[in-house]
Amino acid sequence: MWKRNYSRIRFFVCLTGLAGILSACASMGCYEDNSVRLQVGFYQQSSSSLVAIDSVSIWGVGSDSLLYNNKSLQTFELDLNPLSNETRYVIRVQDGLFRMQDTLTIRHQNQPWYESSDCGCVLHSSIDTCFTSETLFESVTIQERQVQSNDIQHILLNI
Amino acid sequence: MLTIQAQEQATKETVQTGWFNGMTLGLDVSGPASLLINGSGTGAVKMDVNVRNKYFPTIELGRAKWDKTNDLAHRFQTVGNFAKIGLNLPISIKGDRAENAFLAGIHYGYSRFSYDIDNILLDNYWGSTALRLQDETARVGWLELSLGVRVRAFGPIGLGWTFQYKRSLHQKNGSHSVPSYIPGYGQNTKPSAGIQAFIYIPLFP
Repeated sequence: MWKRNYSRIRFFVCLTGLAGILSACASMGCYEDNSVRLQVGFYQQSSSSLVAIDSVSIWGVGSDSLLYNNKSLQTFELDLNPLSNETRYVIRVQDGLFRMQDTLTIRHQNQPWYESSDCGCVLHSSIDTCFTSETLFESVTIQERQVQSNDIQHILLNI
Repeated sequence: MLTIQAQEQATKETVQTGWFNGMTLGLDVSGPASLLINGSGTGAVKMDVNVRNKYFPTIELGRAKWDKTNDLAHRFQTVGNFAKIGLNLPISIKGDRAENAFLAGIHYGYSRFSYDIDNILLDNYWGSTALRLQDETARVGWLELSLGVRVRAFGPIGLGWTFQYKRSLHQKNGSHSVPSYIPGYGQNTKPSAGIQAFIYIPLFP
């Protein structure tokens, strides 16, 4: 049974308001890890395996803060500089009074990726070249140039 | 022997519904209402053709504006056009030209649009960096299932609403981002749902 015009108009006005409110849908939340870092490992060529090194400290060239302070590391993560195409880190190993350090230089192209309004932006990068000053490490191997995931080793520092 | 009333009723019931049984223009009123309430909304015009009171092919053209800042202070802005094409089928109708109808429909929607994302803060070891993504271009096609009602309210003018369930079929994102909002579709969630309210104006005959 169709209602009178007044009831129809009231019903229509309510739905119009509801439509306006419903158009702002609730947030879905972010369920993904939205930070991507360069995954680095210490690699011993003689045993063809990753190796742990004690008393490692790492900091960025141009930064005052230590990323790793006197830690035993086999693999570790580094942030690439979002404002530059070159990122440099000092890696120091302290063994008693014996201290050696090397500088790792990574040249890369930054590709910010905005995933969603809930997850925000992550920095994807593409590695062009990678080298050290060869005082501590023999060479660097780039295993994966695309820094878009934390699940794989991107570079290996060969000792 | 039929009474005069019954004869008139019988005459009405035998009014032939030809292949072309009218055309109706629909004007979206919920989109402008959303624009007033939220600062973001859609304006759309749709046309449907009444084919023998059985089929209602429809086309809708619209333009949407979205300007939202989320909890992370990211500002998403877009203005874009969209189009939908599809078919509505009557579940229930009343009137020679289906002036009052309960309709179910299936439509394909498409939008190609550009957008900006501002105030993106990236925090890592090297500090806090503000980023801005400008003139990102995306295109999306989606499937839409709808249920709607329209009723004659003032003379020939009708009012109605449509509930839509949408799911994107194909999507090409911007070169550095996934769009948060798609004109004509709504927030970029899978699936998406919405309600539109319309004023209907019969055009022919």
